[in-house]
Formats: sequence, C-alpha cells, structure tokens
Amino acid sequence: MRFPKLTELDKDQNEIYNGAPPEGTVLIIGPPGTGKTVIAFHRAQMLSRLKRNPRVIMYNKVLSQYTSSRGSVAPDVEVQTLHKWAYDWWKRSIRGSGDPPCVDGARFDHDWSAIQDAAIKKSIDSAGAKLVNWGHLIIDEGQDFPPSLYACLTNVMTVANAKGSLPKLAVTVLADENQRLRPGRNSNIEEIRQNLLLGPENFFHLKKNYRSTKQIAEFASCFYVGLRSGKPIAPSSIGELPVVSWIERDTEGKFLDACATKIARYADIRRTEEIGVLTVRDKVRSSIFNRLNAKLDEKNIKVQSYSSKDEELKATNLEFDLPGSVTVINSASAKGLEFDTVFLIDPGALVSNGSGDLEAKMAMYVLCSRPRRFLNVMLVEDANSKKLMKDVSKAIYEEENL
Amino acid sequence: MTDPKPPSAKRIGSRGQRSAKVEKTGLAPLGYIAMHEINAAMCMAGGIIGPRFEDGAARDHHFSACGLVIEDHSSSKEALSAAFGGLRYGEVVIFEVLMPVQGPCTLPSLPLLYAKRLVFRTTDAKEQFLARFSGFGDIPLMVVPLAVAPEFFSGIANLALPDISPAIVKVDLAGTLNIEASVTTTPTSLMRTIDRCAGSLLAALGTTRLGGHAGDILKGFADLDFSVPEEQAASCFATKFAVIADGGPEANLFAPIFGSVATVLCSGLMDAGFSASELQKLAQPESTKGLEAESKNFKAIESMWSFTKDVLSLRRDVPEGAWSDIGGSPLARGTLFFLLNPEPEQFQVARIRNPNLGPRVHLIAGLLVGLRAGLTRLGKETKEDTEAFLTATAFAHTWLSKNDVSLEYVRNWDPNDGTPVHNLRFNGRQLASATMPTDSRLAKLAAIIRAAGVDVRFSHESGALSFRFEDEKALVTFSLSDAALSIYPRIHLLELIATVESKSAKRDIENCVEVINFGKSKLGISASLENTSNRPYLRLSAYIANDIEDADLTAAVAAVVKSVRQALDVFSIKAKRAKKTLE
Repeated sequence: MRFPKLTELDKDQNEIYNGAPPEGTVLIIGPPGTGKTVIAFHRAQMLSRLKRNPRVIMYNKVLSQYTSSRGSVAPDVEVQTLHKWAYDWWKRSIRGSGDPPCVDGARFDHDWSAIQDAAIKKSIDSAGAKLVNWGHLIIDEGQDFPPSLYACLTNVMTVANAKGSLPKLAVTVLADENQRLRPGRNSNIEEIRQNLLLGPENFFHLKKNYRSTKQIAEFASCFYVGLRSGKPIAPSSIGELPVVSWIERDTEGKFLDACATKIARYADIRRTEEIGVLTVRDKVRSSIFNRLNAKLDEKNIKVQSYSSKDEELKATNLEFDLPGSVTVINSASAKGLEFDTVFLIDPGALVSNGSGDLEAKMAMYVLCSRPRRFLNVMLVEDANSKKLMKDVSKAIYEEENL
Repeated sequence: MTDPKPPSAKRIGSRGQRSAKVEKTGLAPLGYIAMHEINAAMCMAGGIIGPRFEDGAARDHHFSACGLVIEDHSSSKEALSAAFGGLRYGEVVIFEVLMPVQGPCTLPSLPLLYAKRLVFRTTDAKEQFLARFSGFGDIPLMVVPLAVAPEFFSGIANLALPDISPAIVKVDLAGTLNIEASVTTTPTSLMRTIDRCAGSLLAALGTTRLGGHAGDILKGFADLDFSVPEEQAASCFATKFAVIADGGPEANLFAPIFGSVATVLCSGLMDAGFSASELQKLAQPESTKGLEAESKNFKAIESMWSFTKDVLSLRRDVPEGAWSDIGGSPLARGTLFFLLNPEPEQFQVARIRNPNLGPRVHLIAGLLVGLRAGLTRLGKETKEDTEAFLTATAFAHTWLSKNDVSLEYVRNWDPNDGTPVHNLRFNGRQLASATMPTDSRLAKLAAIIRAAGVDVRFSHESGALSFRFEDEKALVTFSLSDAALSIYPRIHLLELIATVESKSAKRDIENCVEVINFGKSKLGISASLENTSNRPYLRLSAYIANDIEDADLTAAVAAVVKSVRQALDVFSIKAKRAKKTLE
C-alpha cells in the first residue's frame, strides 16, 4: 500500500493522529479515500512507540496482504484478519485449546457473547486480566463486523482494565457504513458507537477524499446511496476525466480482447503505475487475466490475480505497491484497495447479477472509488450498462467507442 | 516551565563565543526560533527552518503556524497561541540556529544547514516528538541533534509578537538578546520557490548517482551565472539546468516546451493533482509565444506537442528507445517522460522500469518532478543523501536571497581501482556526484603492477597511476596508451609507459637511458629522456599487442618494473657518490 507520509496528512487527519487518545475506545468514520487505513497504521506506529502493543485487524486476506507493504509505517505492528486474531486470542489467552465458539456451527461467524463470557470469567483475577490483554486493537473496515464483537471488546476491556492490566486494553475502530459488504452481518455506525460506549470526544469523522482526483470523486459520487458516514468532500486535486468505453459485444471474446488491448497499451506506456483491473464476474477475471498475461509477459510488466477458488492465485502471492504491475481482481475483493489507475470491466453485470439497484449502486460506488489518478469504465453496450449509467452526467466523463 | 527566568546571558554568551569562528564564513552567532512541533517536523522534512504556507494546497493547511522567538514582556497567551498556530495539541520546540550575517532577519527562512540543535522542554516532549513523527519517514533526524533544555522555554511565557509572522531574535557576541528585525509579511512565495528550486535540483542531480554520462552533465553546471530573474525564478532556474543537461544542438529549440511546462507547474496549478492533458493544453500555447506560425521552430514545437498528445491519449505507442539520450532531443523527451511519470514515487523507479532511460532524459524529467513536488514532498530515497539534501536547500536559499552563488566541479579518482567520480559542490559541500565506469584496462594494470611488488595507487586528484619510492625520492607513474608503429601501421598496439621523476641530473638520466637501451633486446624496453617544465625525467616504454592477454601484460609490467628499479639503482648510486664526494 502506498502510504502518505505524516507530512502529507491534512489538518483533519492530523487532528485525529494527534488528538485521538491512546487509551479507551475511539471510533473514526469516513467515506472511501478519506484515509482511514492510513490513520490506522500511523496510529499503530505511534502506539507502538508508546509501547501500547497495537495490532491491526483487517477484513480479509487480500486487505491484509495489501497493507503488508506499507513502507516504513508501523513495520513491526502485526496485521491479522479478525478470524485469525480471535482464534489466537482464544487459544493463547482464554481456553488454551480448541476453536472459539461460533454461531450455529458456522466456521467464520464467532459467537461473541460466548467469547465475552469466557473472557470476562478469565479476567476476574489480575493474572487472567494480564492474559486476555490484547493491547490496542485497531479494527479497519469496522462496519463489516457484528455489533456483538464491539460489545464483547468493551466489556472485556472494562473488566481487565479495572484489574490493572497494563498496558491498558483499548480499541480503535475505523468504519464506513456505505461500504458494507455482507448485509445482515455487519454494523452501522450507531451500533458500533453504542457498543463501544463512546463519548463525543472519542468520535472522529474524516470527510475529505485524499485518494482520488476531483474528477474521479465526482464520477463515483453519482453512485452514492446516502448513509451516515456520508459522501466525502470532493478533493481539490485535479486529474484526467474518467473515460467510459462502450464496446459492442458481438461475442464475449471480442469484448474482452478490446478491453485487454487497451489495458496492455496503457500499461506499456505507463510503466511506473500500479494498475488495477476490476471485474464483476470471476469468469471474466480469469479471461482478462489470461489475455493480459499473454500480451504483457514479454514486456517486464507483472500481471497478477487472486481467486479464492484457485490454489495458485493466493492472496499472499499478490504484490501491491508495485510499479509496472497489473492486478486483476474480482469486485468482491476490491474494497479497501487502491491503484493508480483502475479499469472497471463490465460493471453492467452488477445489475444483471440480480442485485437490487441499491446494492448495484453501492458496489459501483466502492469500485469507482479505488483509483488514485485515472478511471476507465469499460461497458458492454447493453440495457444493463445503460441503466447503470443513466444518472451519470455526460459532462463529467469522456466517452469513447472501442 | 519550571524556571521562570529567561535563558541566562552567560549561557548564551558562551555559545556566541563558540560560534564566533563561524562568523568568518558568513554566519553570525546563535539565534533561536520557536515553533510548533509539527512545523518543526515539517521544516526538517523540507530542509528549511521557517513556517510553510501554501494557499490552496490542501495538504499543508495545518502548517499555518509560525516560528517565533522574541523577548517581549507582554501577553504570553497570544505568543503561545501563535506558536501553536491555533492547534490544540502538541508542543512548542526551539531551533537553535546560526544566522547569516547579512540581513538574517529579513529572510523568512533559513536552510536547515544552519541549525545546531532542536531543543525540547522535557525528555517526555522529546520522546513524544520522536514517537509522533516516526511516521514521517523522510525527516533526516540525524542532521539536527535533539536536546532537552527546560530553561530555554522559561522565556516562552514572556514571548509574544504583535502578529503571528515569524520573527527572529539574535544573540550577539556579548550574549545579549537583540530583536534585530521582524518579518511582517508571510513568506509564502519565497518559501515555495526555495522549496521548488531545491526540490528540482535534488531530484534531478540525484539521478547522476546512477552514472552513465552524468559526469559530463555535472561538468556543464559549474561556474554558471546564476543571477536571479525578476519573474518566474524557479521556472527559469530549472530551464537553465535543463538546457545544460541536454547539451545537444536542439536544446534551445525545445527549451520553450520545457519552460512552458515548468511555468505551469510553478503556478501551483498541478501541486495537488495532475492532469497531463490539462497541463499540455496550458503549456502548448505558452511554448510558441512569439514564434512565427510558419517558422521552423514553431513547426518543430507543434510537432512535438502533437506526438505528446497522441501518446497521452493512447493513439500511438512509444517507440522502442524513445527514452534514450540518442537520436532526439533529451529535453523534449524528458518533458514527455515527466508528463507520463509526474509523481516522485514514479520517478524513483523510472530507471528500473525503463532500462533505456538515458541519463540526460532522466535528469531533465527529474527537474520537473522536483519542481512540482518541492523538496518537502520528495521521498526519503531522494533525501537520504543528507549532505546533498541540505546543500541543495542552502544553494536555492542563497541564490534566491540574491547572493552570489556558483557551483564547483571537481573530478576525483578512487585510489584502488581508478574509478572516476565527478562531483558538483556548493560552498565546499557535496551537491551531487556521479561515479563513472572503471577503466578495466587500467584497473588490471594496477593489479598486475601491485603483484609485481610495486604498491601503485591512483592519484585522488589526477587519476594518475603512480608510486613514490621514498628512498630514492622518485615518483614513478604508469600508463597505457594506444599506439601504432610506423613499420606496422595496421597493427594496433598498446604502449605501457612508466615515467620516473626524480631529482637526478640530466646527465645521470642520459646514462640510465644508455644502460637500459643497451639491454633492450632482453627486456623489450626502450628508454628516453623527456622534459616537462624544464625538468628532465626518464621515460620507459614497452609495446604489447592490443588484444593483450594477462600473461603478456604481466611480462611487460615485470620488464618495466625491472627497468625502473635498474634506473633507480643508477640514480641511487650516483646520489650516494655525490653525497660521499660532498662529505
């Protein structure tokens, strides 16, 4: 991940960096590109220097891998998925063996109430409180975890801290409810806030988009659905207008060829950029990946991909922040990531996938917020694509027919 | 604030005396600048002490606080508030600096080069600073020692300014504080211009470390007239460097392209974002201003812009080798390369990702990258050469302060393998260097001579391969040169030459020549008497086939070394006889 230096943080970000207390619970909300993950790691670095034993929790393996290359920011701070952390914590601090309890036997949905009971029981004496001490937990993409997690953390923290466990247990959550991935299994801001027992002094709001250019932000905002963490304040930085390429789909192969040809030419000319190619369907991801590999293999440009279904395309093999690379990834794994340039392939499929309008727009909002400098949406000329683009003013993008 | 007294005169006076030595080089005794710790960190990151303002540059809004140190017994609250710049968190720190003698207080900023210490109120504040700013990554913390001196802050309660503009208190040699002047205007433009110029210089000259033909480029920068233009100082500064770096016949033809892009960048329009197509639209008409529409120059520039537009819009590929220095104007190519790679982090990997990128094209693109980013935003990699980082700032600062500046070019050689290093210096400090490829033939020769028992070294100043025989008081210098014999004009040979300089008389050298030439058939060495500056010396030489094998060279070296020793023996015997006669 390309991390801004402290010198590049803005006033709002600096106020959080400097003003958020190192103890207790802190909630930071903000729309895409406002620097939540950046703040998470700069905060982790500071907490590490203050010996608060910070640990960053990411939503999935791709994000975890993504933040593993973060320059010199918090290099020693451990990054884990919630599942991994919960497993380790349970085993090391609470029970010593076995898996943490899960809801109805589901492997990835922990029963946080049961975990909480066990942890509090353990924390009643000071030796146990020392054992459950997780230091300072920094949870990114906090909207994608259930409210019961926050209740558990707050209650265990209260008991363990009362027993004098040092450093004091603390939690920082960074969230955006407009980017929820799993309807029904996540939290809105109010739920997080209530469960963390937050006072107003520990609640921070990032509003300004630092990732994208004004032109990209304006384009993405056409898909904003309007929840509490809000639409970011448009960035002042200028950039190229997004490009919308309409491509006739005589056959799927011709469509993908046209997309791959353009992407390959761009990658060849801009050899210092990190390019993301986002697809909606896994089959398209696979086809584009193969085509780009064939075109760019001899040009010293790395083409990589991730699929949970493919053993050879592991998240841990992905190299982020790699100039002269093309990462082909499915939209479900794209949240939280950013690239210099993003080619978004056939997002009309979001509509044809049977998602509701709201979900399709929310997904489009997330995907269009990924690029730092340039966005190229590559659309099949069909009714779904036209439906998706109907609310977007032609004045804010350039149109081309490939 | 444990001690209410201001810094003691005795303490400050003693520091002033210590720094009196420095005064000779143009710097006055110590002065103090207090500022909010964020500003301090920012100044360190930028190489400049002083506040930093950038209207409209979103990322820098929080740097609206100013540095101040002043002794004034009026309201302390306002002073602290000013130093904090309205920020509710953090600490005030104090820079201890050496002030330039001439008009220091009219200068809104000083290069970090002049900073002596960064002083904190408490150890805890120092630790907090280190923790808080560990994420900066590009703060060269080692360039300014950090110290804890609570007494420095005792005066802060009494420090105040009528406004929040930066002001400086000087400490004279008697150890008393004097408010020499205060600056009443915000130094926005000058600060940014220094930042841009120094950034441009540092990013561009940093490329010379990668070698190539960079040594020749550095040579061109020496002894230039760096007078400051009234307008567009930074843009003119960069264009001047770009034309020199290009060094080709078309440099002046395409200079308006570079200049117009530089002018747009210096306007700040592309500071917070970048659009190559927008930049092209703004720069293109600017670049042909004053040219006749049908003129050759106009057409050449328009044609270059047309190509640029095609590349930017993906209508055409960039031809193979388009980024090399050969076969086109490095200045035009460097400008296009910048348009495609405008960010400092892209620039860092440019040479790796584009192996054909020529040193001149790279350097010219670097001028534009640095001009846009400014020193502050350049990455750690560019600033890791602390000396160059601080010297670039000092150079830009001195130049923009309308002082005479000139760069000095020096060439050195590595004593062991003769690798030439080209250096560009300002005020005796290293600004840039370029290490050129080692001459493998000479390096091999040196190794063989050493193996023959003569511990030769390359002269650091001249690159000559020589050894001084202390007993005989003789300097022997070895070299290789291409040669051809008149009787075999088509056969290329190498001539191994050894010159023996001693205090021997001409007659003794003549005798020596006779002795050596007498044995020529055995050793293949010819000797002659030569003269330099009316001083006679012995020249020994042997011819070797040009496609020499190590064994041939080794044999030739052994023969030459033997002849050298023979000559030195002759000189020695003569010298001893002469001494004996005198006795």
